[in-house]
Amino acid sequence: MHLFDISPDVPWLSLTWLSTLIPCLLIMVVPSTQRELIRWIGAGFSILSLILSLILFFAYDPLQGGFQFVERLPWMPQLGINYILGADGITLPMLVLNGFIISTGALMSWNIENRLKEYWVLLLLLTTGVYGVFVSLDLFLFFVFYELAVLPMYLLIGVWGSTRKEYGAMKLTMFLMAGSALSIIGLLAIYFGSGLRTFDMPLLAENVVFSRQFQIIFFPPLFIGFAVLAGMFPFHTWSPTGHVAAPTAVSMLHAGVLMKLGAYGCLRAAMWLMPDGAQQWLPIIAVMTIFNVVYGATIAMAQRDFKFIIGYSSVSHMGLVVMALAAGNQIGLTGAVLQMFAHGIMTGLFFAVVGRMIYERTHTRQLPELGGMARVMPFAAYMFILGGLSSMGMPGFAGFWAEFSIFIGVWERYPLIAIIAAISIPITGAYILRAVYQVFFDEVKDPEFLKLPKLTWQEYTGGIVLAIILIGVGIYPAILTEMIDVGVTPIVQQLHSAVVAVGP
Amino acid sequence: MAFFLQYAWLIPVFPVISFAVITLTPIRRSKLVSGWLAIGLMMVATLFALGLAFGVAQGLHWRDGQLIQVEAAGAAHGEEEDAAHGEEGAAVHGEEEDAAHGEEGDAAHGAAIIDFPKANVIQRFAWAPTGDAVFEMGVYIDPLVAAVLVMVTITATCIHLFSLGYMATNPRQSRFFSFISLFAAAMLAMTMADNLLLFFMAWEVMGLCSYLLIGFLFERPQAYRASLKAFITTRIGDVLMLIGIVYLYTQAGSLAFGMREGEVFNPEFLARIGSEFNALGMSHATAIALLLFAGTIGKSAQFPLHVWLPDAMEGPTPVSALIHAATMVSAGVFLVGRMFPIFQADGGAALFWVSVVGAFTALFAASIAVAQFDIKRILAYSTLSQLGFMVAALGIGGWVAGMFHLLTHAFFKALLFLGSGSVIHAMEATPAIEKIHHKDEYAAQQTAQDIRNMGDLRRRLPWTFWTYTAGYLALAGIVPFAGFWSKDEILADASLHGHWVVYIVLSVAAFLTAFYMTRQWRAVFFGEYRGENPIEFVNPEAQAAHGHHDDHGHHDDHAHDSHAGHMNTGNHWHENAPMTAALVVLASFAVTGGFFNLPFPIPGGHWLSSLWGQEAAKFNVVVAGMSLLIAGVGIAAGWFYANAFKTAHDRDPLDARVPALFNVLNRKYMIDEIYAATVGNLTSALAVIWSWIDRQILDRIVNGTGIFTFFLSRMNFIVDDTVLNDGPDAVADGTVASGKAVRRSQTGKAQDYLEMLFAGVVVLALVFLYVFQ
Repeated sequence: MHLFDISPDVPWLSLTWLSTLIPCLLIMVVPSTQRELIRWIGAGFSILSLILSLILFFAYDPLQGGFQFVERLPWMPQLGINYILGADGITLPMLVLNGFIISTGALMSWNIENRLKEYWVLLLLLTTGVYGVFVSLDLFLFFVFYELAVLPMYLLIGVWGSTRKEYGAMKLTMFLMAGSALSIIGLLAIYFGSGLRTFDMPLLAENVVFSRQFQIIFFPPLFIGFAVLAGMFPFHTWSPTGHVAAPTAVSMLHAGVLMKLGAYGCLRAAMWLMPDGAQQWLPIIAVMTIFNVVYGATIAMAQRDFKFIIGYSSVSHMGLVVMALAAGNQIGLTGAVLQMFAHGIMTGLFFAVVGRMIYERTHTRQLPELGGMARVMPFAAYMFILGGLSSMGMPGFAGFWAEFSIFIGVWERYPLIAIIAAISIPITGAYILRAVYQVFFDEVKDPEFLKLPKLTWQEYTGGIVLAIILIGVGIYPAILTEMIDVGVTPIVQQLHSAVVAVGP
Repeated sequence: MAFFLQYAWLIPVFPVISFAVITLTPIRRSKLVSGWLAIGLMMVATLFALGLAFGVAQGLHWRDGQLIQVEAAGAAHGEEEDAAHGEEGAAVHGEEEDAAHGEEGDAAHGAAIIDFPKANVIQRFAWAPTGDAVFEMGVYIDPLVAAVLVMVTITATCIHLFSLGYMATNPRQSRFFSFISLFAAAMLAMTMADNLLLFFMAWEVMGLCSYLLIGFLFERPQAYRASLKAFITTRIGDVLMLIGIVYLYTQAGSLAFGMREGEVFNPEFLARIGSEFNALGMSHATAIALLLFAGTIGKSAQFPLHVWLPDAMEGPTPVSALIHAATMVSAGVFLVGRMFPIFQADGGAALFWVSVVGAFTALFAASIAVAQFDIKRILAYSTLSQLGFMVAALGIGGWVAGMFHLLTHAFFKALLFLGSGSVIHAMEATPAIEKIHHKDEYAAQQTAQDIRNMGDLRRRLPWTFWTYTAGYLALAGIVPFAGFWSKDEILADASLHGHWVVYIVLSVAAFLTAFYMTRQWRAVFFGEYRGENPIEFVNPEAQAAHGHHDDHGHHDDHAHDSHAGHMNTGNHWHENAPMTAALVVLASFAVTGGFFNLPFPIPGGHWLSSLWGQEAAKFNVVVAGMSLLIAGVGIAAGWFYANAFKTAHDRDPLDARVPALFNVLNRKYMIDEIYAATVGNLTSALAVIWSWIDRQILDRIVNGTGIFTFFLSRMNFIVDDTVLNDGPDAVADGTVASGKAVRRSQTGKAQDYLEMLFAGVVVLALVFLYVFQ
């Protein structure tokens, strides 16, 4: 966009991740009786972090491209570990996405009363980790933040969750830990294999050519380690159970942002640093993602629990992201990043409606037990329908552009896979419309529902903000694609040069 | 004129404004204000479309901010001007078509490729930079687009006006107006789109509006099911079409309409995709054309995806008129017309299938219409059949004939639907139907739509009768009504180019059309009035609907497709002024529509085809005489056939599913015994067979696919829950002990958690430290 310049002397990126760490410390010293104060600190700093991300987003100069707002400090120089932050066209949409999700998630957390203080600390800690991952350019730092983002999830689900929460929390943690273990193998291999003893990603990408054999061996652990977090088949089962068990704001962050960390890791660490390995393995990965996309969608159709429908729809949509990554071309990667953004906002809206607006009031998520919610809370119905339309790729919503770009990208490389994946489009329409009808338009099954408490201003605000973004990006996608396009170019070039070097 | 050309892009903006205003502002609380707002803005759009069409008809072109007069629109191509590319790039700029083609295009391939005239207006702006290409969006107006815009705006205005009366007692009337405004905007945007992506976007939005409006009366399970069926069925076609678009994009690198380098109608590009083959041994052009045609099959309800359209009649009647007769369903035909060069690029392989599907649907649907009793369903099957005519016309290369029939059909079919709405509206106010209404409003509506319960309405509803008759004669193909000229042109094209199979199939369909329309027309407007003792529709879901009423009846009392009936106890036969006005406007087009393209060498003859820059089909006395004869025979047959309707109870309701039996039993009323015994029996037998195929086989396949998919979903879920889930669960069980330990450490103090986290980081750091040394 580059609407204005910002001072290069201010460490903007550090401020961004600090802006959610500082309230953790503040909340710790606030007495737990000051409930409103704690909430306002949490929400206020979340919104501050959003504003910082937006400033960065609009100050980035796409014409110049590359990493901007770079910060470098030695951390453990003898080990080649440095504190390096930077933002490019992929990072910034993700930062803005995280800002929007945590801000609206904070608004949706207003009704948390149990262990309020701990809840907010953990929620903000999780967000800090996410911000950190997106801005880190040092692999070690990247990994530290990555773990910081994953760990609080266990407690957030285990303590504040619902429906088989211990099971969900444990399963999620197990899967993600296993993924981390795999990616550590890849990271260490890069560290030693490069011969430079450095974790500096731009340096590694530009100056080091790993041998083809090396890349073919070490690409899978690195990629799959991150892809677990993106919900790649067959490592996806943690995700729906986790979504269902988590409290609303955590579901929003989890499906909206955390799964994107996985895809981001695949793109930034695995594909950027090991393009030869990527070229070798991507076709196999593309085949795996068919299961995500089609199989996830069909399972969503068989669900009766509203959150499970959303959970499996996330599996299906994130499958599209990984499928587009596997296409490895400019338009495919652009579509993948756009889908990460669009799906994040959309699924945030879904969980806000399902978890906060409906479940917290009706205490049921079973489709046959709900019904007539459009009459009880028309606002929730409008929001869910808007999200649903984006999810089924209706033009005028962010999801359409993402899916369209993805299908073009995948078609260029794997036409057959694109055709099979397209089966998911009518299926998605079917399960979304079925849910819409059963929850919002069927008869009211329980007369008690007509007397449910009204929506709060926090819920209205959060819903409206997310809906505006979905439609805004749908009407003018260039606001994101211009930047994403610049961001993915170096990665596409890496992949392309790998093809040229290897030959067909 | 310059104004209308320059601001042509405003046409779809007006209905968008009424959609936005009604949806977002408190205006929606007043039905009347929102209704008139939508009508007013639609009228402004009509004015703009008419102004644009006059400009285009005079050969005016809008280029680089100035108006250029080209002598005759037909002579516009051949002229060569280089596209003036402004440096502004992203800014709005006019562009020109480089028409340097023709001979090369022909030389490159055996078949002649249609030569579109230059667009009168092209305005583009940058939309989404994807990859290296900047995606541009904009408007592309050539004489065809201008004609379709006029048709859409006029029918939409009439239907808006009609809805004001028809939907008056519906509590959600404002929402209705916002939906149909959005629909009109999408249809107009699709027509004017300058590239296939924008076209597809508007196309999808129309599908959404269609879904919303079929299910508008969502309290009825039938309406909800029909809306879902429509959405999913058309979406199957849409997905294939999307793949076709993606395929085209990867081949052409662009989706922009136009003949310049890099645009989809570029002759070299067409020659290349026509001669290169993909892995399946099909040329790229054939594959792309057939994939795009799948979209047409879904949207224009061609066999085998036609099943949704008859059910879509569950929507309010103005919706059936606007979306499921005049505009949206013909969008599929327009798609083929717009992308015609791609269809021609392979030398006829794709067009062969187009003609097969079109001709088959024309006959198939017409024969089903013969066995129907619901006034709207007869019209719905008739729409399917007429769309089949258009598709077949395109398939045999009769581009002008297909597009001309699209325009005339829109007017007279919208007229017929609105006329049927007027009839239903009046029928619902009769005491007999009112009585049913108190028990079950869905059954009441279905009863009111049954033509067996009508009769002699010409005296009771004179305006409706005369306007309906105009539409009926146009559809039946009687000279000089609109439908005669356009249908005749299709048949003339078929016979001229030696497509005898298509000619014969379409002639039979034309015969059936005249037949079932006459049967309906006579049953509704002539004979004795049979409504005092109606044959009642048996609602299979009556029990459920009843319970529904008990629970929350107060919500549903007025949420139905009937109106104003309750206060009309005295003389209940009346016609509402805005509704009549709409009928009269449309009727005038049904009468005169054909004169825009008379097939004679007189001043004003071949007007549309020369405006569209195409060779005009010549008038063929034999063909015209034959089709008149066919229509005449069909009308005669239908007239005698419909003589059967003396009372509503001429047959048992259980017999309703076996019309053949019914017809055999009642043939004694037929005067021309032999004629009835042969043709009548044959048609009803055919009708039964097709109807059976439609209900028993195709519906079953759709349902079965649904059930099978659900079964697969369940299976997948079981696999998911046992194999893929329990495996990791076993691992998880192994770690339960450690999990318990972790849970014990949940002290609830955030400080502890933080300490733990940072301790973890430190440990990690130490591990690395040791590993590295």
